[in-house]
Amino acid sequence: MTVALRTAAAIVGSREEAADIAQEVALDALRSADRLRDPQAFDAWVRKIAVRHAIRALRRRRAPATAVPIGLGWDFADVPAVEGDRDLLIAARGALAQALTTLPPRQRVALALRYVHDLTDREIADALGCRRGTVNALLSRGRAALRQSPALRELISMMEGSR
Amino acid sequence: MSDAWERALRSALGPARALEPTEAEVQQVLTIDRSRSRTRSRPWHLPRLATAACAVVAIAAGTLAVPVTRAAVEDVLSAFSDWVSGDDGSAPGRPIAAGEDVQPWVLKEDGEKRVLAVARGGEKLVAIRDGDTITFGLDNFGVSGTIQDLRERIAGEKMMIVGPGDWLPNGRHDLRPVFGVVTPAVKRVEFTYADGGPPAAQAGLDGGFAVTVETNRPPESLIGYDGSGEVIARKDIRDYGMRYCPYVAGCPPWPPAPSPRRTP
Repeated sequence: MTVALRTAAAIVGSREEAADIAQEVALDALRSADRLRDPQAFDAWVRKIAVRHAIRALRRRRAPATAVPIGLGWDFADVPAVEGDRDLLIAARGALAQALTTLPPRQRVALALRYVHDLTDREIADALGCRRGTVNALLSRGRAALRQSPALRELISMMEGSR
Repeated sequence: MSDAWERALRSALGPARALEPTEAEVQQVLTIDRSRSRTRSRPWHLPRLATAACAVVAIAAGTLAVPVTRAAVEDVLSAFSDWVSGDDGSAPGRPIAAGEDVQPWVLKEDGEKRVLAVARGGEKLVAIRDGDTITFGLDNFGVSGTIQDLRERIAGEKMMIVGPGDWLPNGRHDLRPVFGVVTPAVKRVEFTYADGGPPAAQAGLDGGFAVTVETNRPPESLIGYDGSGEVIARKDIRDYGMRYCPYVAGCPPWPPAPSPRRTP
């Protein structure tokens, strides 16, 4: 359920919605556990089910996606004392979260699996049921789309400048 | 894509990496599954039942499991008990050096070896042995007793919160370190919030932690991880609020918790 929750949260961007998806994934997994041949592949199997449910959830959405409550993972020991730096981190988190919500579902899935689970192209391809070349294309297009956000570009360059 | 973009993306998705289902969510799934299984037209045959049971265990493992053998032998005081008996080699933390900046009441007697620095977060969390008693102390607060006394109070726990430290000097009373001691197996702790947002965390632990938390968010769990990233301890800290409310008669209630999952 942890794997399902993390995968879904990264894709749909809301813990609440991810918890609902994780619940469906867990029930699916319980129902079809007899189809799992290799116990070592349990995580990958759950991820695949989670991806399927998360994509379905994204496509079901009719209203524009709400901002994703994800952000730069704060280790509070590193929170800068200078007020402006802290605000910069918060602003970058918001801009990146917003930019991620604008990506097509499969691009979001590819980025989520890469940056949340550190999966290889092959593993992402397995989860998405596509070829490795397609994964490369999804990742490239996703990153390129993020770079199009002027606000995000500016914030990242400010962060680079403040290091 | 530059390193900065890669780093930003990875860290922006970091909170998703740290999410854990709550015990209630796991129980909800098991309840729904049980109610569905009662309505199935054909009975489950044995292999299917066995595989499903494995899946239940695997699903629950993320939140509920603590290795039985380790749980049986280790509590938060195990690492300190030999040290209290005089074995300096086995203690976590590090001895306080002569002349080191430390709370004055700690140093009222002889040598350095009776005091260990266990964690640091603005101030130090120290362990002090005095005869057969041990004190876990902050600048102005401490927990004290014999190992046996304390063991009765903590009842086998792998993490013990000693207390909050002073407000961090940001002038806003919204950040505060929380100190505690942990078993040697706990290498990382996460302080999670009921709002589901990013947790506060500290890694590389050696017997204690000092994690800086946001006081204006409702706390939920303190989670302990071992060196391989497995959850080996979990503590409910929903009652551990530290809000600063100087202008009202007590703090207002927390905002409502997220709505419960769908009921079966």
